Amino acid sequence: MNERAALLKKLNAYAFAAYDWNLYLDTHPQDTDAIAMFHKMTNRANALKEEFESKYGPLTAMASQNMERWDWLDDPWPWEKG
Amino acid sequence: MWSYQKRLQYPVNVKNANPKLAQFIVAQYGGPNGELSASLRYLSQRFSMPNEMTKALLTDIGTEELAHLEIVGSLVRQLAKNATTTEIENSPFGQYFMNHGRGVFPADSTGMPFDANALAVSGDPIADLTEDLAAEQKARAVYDNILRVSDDPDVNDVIKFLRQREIVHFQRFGEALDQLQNTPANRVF
Repeated sequence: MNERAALLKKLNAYAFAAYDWNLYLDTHPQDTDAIAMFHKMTNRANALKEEFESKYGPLTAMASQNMERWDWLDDPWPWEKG
Repeated sequence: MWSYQKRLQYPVNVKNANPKLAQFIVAQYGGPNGELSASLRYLSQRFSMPNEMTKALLTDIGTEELAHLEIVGSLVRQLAKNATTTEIENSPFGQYFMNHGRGVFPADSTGMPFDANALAVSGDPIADLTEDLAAEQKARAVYDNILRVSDDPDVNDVIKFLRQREIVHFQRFGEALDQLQNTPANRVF
């Protein structure tokens, strides 16, 4: 697995964990332990997202930083083999 | 509103073309128990939900189903992309190929285009949540069927993830229905 794929895998893992807490919290909104876990996961995911985006380009159009060319267009797109 | 993240919720890397499997898996793209059906059902039902919990849950799960739609579409594309025309014409995918080539079109595994009759929005929260429980089990059952006919480990890895998510959704909808039914203001029968 190349570096890009490895970093994306880590980001996906933490983002997914955060999202699963999100769903759990939708039906258990008073669970403060779960809220703490949600934030633990989002903090990790956001750090990884910043690292990924700085190395490999934006994951959302709004995150594009390149002033020379519109890098949002860049391959690979997610449905293509990584 | 939606924003798009340029990553799949779960990665799809299929090494071997398999148009026969593509034809079966397209059932979860445009079929009655597939991800398009699920996302439209939940994203539509949420408008008539009575409380914050149900509005949030249906929005969030509906959004996740769109992410799953993308995963299933990726599977179909990767299974078809490098298939030869000989492989294609000797598989059930040959019929689909006539109108869609190696593209991804919302139909079920028999080629019937997506039909919104597969989903219901009654406007009654109890009926709608009950429908959602059934929908998640039906989707899980279709993923079971795909696993029965597929021996491709790259594909099966993704299918097992999608299948597990249906089980988790079922759990969440059950909690929502339970809470709704135990709220005195919502007791209509």
